[in-house]
Amino acid sequence: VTGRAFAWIGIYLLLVVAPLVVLLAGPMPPGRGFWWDFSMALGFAGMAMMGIQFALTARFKRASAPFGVDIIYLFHRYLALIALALVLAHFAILWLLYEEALGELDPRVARWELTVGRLALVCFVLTVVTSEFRRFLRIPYLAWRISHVALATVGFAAAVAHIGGVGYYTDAPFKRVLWLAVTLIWLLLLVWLRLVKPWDQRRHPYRVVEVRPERSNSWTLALEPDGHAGVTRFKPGQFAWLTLRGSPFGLREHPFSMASAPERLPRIEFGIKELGDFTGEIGTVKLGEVAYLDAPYGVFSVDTYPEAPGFAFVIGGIGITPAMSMLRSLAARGDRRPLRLFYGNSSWDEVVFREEIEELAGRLDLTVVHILQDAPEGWEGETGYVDKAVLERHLPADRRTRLQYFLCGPTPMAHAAEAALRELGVPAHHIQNEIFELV
Amino acid sequence: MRRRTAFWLAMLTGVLVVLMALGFALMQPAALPPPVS
Repeated sequence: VTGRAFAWIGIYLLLVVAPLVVLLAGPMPPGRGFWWDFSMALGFAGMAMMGIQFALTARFKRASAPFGVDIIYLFHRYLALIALALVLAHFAILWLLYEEALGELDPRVARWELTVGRLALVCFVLTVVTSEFRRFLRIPYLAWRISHVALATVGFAAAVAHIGGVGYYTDAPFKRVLWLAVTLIWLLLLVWLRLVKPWDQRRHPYRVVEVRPERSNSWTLALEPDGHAGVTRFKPGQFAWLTLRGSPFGLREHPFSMASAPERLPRIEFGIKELGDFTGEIGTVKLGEVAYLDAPYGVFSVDTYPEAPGFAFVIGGIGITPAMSMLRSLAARGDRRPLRLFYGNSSWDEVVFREEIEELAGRLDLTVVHILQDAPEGWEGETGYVDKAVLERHLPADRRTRLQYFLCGPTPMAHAAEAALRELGVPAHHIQNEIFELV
Repeated sequence: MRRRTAFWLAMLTGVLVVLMALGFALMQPAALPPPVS
């Protein structure tokens, strides 16, 4: 897996530097001073990185498998900041040192290729700002997604037009052909992502076969494929993008961990808590309603570590869903490796899947440690938060550093648990963190 | 762990492309005056 990961990182780096290599190759037009040329190169570099952004979120299964698609989305976020900084630097240098070259701002009199450049810049800034501050700006998820795709697409198209229109560094015929090829590949990617893939999803619908209430305003939503084989395999703990009450073309999909075991395929279950606009409606979903899936994704699975001598799950609230999938699957396989489940909840009544976890503990070598913030009278278990002291009390001292850990829950909990495990001497590569708060 | 790797790979990419941009600017032959719109 590591070899494959390095190969993909190599391909990615090549793709990022390719436009700059093209820029440097062959006869170059005369330079126009260091800062001018530096600004131009920064523009090309930022542009190359923006182009890669589309490929990063295209969810290519083969390319994302060694890393987990969640981390690729995070990478996409980091890169966006760097690419934006480069493009802003490109503009800032010109604005500070060569203001006369920028000409008029008024699009009616300005050179069109400079106007589209400015349009690209505005689109890129808005794309990043609306993503980084989505919650702060209170932008609903669907509105954000539609505007994200629109802004990024318009921004990139405008940037391509800007480079082509200015044309100074792309004038050599072979450079024109290469830039045309890059643009064409980007267009094909868009068509595949926004048309071919949703079309394929629409041809492979699922039906809702059960909507079961669980504790803590949560639901189990069960789907079965309608007229096709469905997902034929997944690793327990992986997740899917689910579309309900909408077309796969409509960008209404949301990522959810699968809660059922792959042994139960073609049936797939999700554990969903009422938290937002979309999840708040789950309880009103009727049997027989159509759903669409894009699955499976992620590396948050016991099957990613088949050699591990045992597993520990550190879970907060509805973060239990991927752990349920893993526990159910390990039970179905008769796995006898030692398991620990640290499960933090606000109160005893909020413990989702409580009864089934008890039942699973009877079939597995599983020790469950409930941690309640608001414990009922007479509670003798752990209270408060999942902290270092709790982990230390319940982890076997001799095996602690060899277990594989899965952390899933609210981000502050997962961060605190990770820090606590590191303090207890658990190596970083034994700690898996599911990152599901993507925007 | 993966989070940190992603961060550093993003930084590495940024440094790499800025270095290439610097290289490009330094390698440019004789300077023409910049254009005026």
